[in-house]
Amino acid sequence: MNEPFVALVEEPLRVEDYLTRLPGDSAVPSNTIGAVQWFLGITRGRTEDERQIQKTTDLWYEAHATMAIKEMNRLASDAVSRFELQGIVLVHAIGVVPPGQTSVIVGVAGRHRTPMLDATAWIMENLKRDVPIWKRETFHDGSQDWIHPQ
Amino acid sequence: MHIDIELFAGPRAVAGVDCIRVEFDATSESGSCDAGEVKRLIADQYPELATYAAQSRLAIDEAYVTDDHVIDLGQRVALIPPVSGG
Repeated sequence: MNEPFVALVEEPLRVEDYLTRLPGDSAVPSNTIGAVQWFLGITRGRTEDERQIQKTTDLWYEAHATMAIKEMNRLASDAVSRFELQGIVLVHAIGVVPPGQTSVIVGVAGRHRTPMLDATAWIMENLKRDVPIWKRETFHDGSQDWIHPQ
Repeated sequence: MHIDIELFAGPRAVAGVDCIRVEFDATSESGSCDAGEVKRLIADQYPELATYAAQSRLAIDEAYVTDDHVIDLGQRVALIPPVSGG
């Protein structure tokens, strides 16, 4: 079992920076890893709702940083137990993330594919509910919105 | 008595400050109040934050608490509006 790797990073993310953080990567061979799953969350340049379609020119992520790290570590630890992970990477960008860039990375490794796919979905659902990170969108007309889902 | 509350994201933008202070009468033996009462105090004393207060959770010392959690003076209190990471 690799130690969970959790971080907030002040720039758009590059998955290649984290590949060796999981067992099962070619640089870290393992006899017990049967599945490695990477998920990248990408910022969209267009926001749609029932009223309108708006072009997003800029996205900004803010965190309650110390609490976010605590929540991400708790989430990683829970996921390791629940899905029998042998490695987990959970990284979120803060600050400016232009449209089309990576804002969040989840990587998990374990014996079988199904729990890895389930773990990724579970982690993202919980991250989007509990980790104190917020997104502010700046639109084409210069207006800005903090996103607080109901 | 008073409690200082850290603000983030939308509530901070609306209030125009990083931190607000709510005042209350110390009616309990502990001289404090619970998280639900703090959210009501925010709504009463900062009407522009009333909608956010109703939608938000409170975090005490960087952990979510339920509305019946009693806040001790001196703890770090934050208003956590619905999050939008990912």
